Amino acid sequence: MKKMIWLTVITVLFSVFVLPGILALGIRYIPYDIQPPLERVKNIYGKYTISQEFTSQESQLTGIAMTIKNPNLKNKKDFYLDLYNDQGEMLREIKFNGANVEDGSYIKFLFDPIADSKGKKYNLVLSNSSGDEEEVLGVYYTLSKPAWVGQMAFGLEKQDGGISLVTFHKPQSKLGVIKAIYSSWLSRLL
Amino acid sequence: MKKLLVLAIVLRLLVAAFYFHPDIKTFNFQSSFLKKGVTDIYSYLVNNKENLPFKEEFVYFPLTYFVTGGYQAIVSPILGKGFDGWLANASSNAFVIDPSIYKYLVVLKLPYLLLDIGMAYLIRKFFKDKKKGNLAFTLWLFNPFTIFLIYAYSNVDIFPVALTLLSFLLLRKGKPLPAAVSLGIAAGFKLYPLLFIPFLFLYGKNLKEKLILSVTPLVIFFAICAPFFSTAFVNSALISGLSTGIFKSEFVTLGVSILFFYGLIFDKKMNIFNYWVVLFLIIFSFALFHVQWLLWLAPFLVIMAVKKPYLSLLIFVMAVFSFSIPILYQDRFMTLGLLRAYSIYFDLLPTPFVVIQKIYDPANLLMIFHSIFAGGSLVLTYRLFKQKQ
Repeated sequence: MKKMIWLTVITVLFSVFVLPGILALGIRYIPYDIQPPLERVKNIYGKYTISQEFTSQESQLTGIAMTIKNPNLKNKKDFYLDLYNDQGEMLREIKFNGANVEDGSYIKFLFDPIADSKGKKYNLVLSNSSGDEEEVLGVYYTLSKPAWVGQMAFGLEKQDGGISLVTFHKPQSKLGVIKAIYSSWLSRLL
Repeated sequence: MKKLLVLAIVLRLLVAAFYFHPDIKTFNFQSSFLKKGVTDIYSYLVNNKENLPFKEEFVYFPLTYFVTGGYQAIVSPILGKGFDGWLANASSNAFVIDPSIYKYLVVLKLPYLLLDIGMAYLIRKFFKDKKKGNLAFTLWLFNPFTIFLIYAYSNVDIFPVALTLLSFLLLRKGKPLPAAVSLGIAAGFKLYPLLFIPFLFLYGKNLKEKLILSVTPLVIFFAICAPFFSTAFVNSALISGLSTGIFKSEFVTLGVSILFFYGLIFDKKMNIFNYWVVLFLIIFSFALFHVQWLLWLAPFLVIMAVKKPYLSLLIFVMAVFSFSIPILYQDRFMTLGLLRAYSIYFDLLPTPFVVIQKIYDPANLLMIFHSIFAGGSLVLTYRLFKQKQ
């Protein structure tokens, strides 16, 4: 019975105090802030694209996530997220296929890290040029966007609000991620 | 023994505070309407679906609503003003970073702790030998399986599990009517105790006892449910996947039928305890079960492991495999999702399902684990019935 008591004590203490730290070693990118609310939807297809300016709040920008609607998985075609700098030069192009986008799923567009991204302005353009009216993709946006999210446009027309997006950044070190997790936990606990 | 009890409580509080399963928020959100005077939660949720932040129906039976809702009303001064807002917060991230989440989780899981400790004392009463009773008491308190089953997965099934355990204790003490009442009340929380009624009918020593044991739980169950009987209740609870999921596998029906006919025709001196255990071994061998269901069997396996020590290794190995099966489901909240109260960064890690998928078909691995569990169940069943003969 002593063995079982020890096994239980060690399993619980390990799971509560150590396991989060070990699992944190597997985290390859971390989000800046939580996703803004999902309030409204803009549909993109054919010539109708959506673009969004934003300022990266951290260095090593390595991904952008947003929530996309694909009702009944109708869209099974390729669509693109293009990332431009403030000079209008395309830095990254990420291809995704509609067949992998369940309706209302949180889609992460990951790319090679941009080392000196902190404080720099970017513009993303999401296009579904091969899709027709039956194959629209809906992009969630919010009217209460955070300050670092800039102007949104639908085609060439400027719009109020901003895409409910999250940026991802490659952590400076594994230890930094572990520290961030434990300090977030302890700060809420104490 | 007191020191061990304190240690057991501390371990439980740690898991209760930091491991979060979204079910606890969902059914507590639904139960919170009791404070506002809603008694028929089934119709209320269906009729107000459009205006509510969560669209789920109430899948449990009425006593779960009244007990969890009543408890919430009692402890609302401790939970504070922000609690109802936290329950209604539909943003998947905002509510987990709320600093009060740990307090909410501990307070909401306190009834589980009381029942859990109470069950340890009930388990002890199954033994005449004090030493063995203490051993079973300690084994219940110190096994990692039940701690995680109850507190990490926010297992509301602990209410019917405690009542079925009490029912078996009363049956053992020769009190069929209170045992049947306890089983009926348990079904008022969740339907599964009613599965045992055909076996209780067989177990009764004469027609009167057979009727007491089989009819009383049904009468109590229907009395609890009658005031809420509506289309909403039938669809949400009575025929929901949670209630009928067990019989989605035809092997379960086959296995339970074999067990019943064996009891009817061959077994003239039924050991009802063995039938209860084997019934659930059949279910977990062949049905796609929820991890929470494993608790239905746990206290009975602890008693069995102490009564028949030669089976304890087999029971331990089977517990490991039964726990591994739901971990392979494509459901974040079986594994990494439980750590969201630490950090939402864990959302970025792939689940075991996704990791395994890169090297092997997880569905196949799931079948292998099910088969291993079924093999163990077969051996355990053979030993239980062979020993009796």
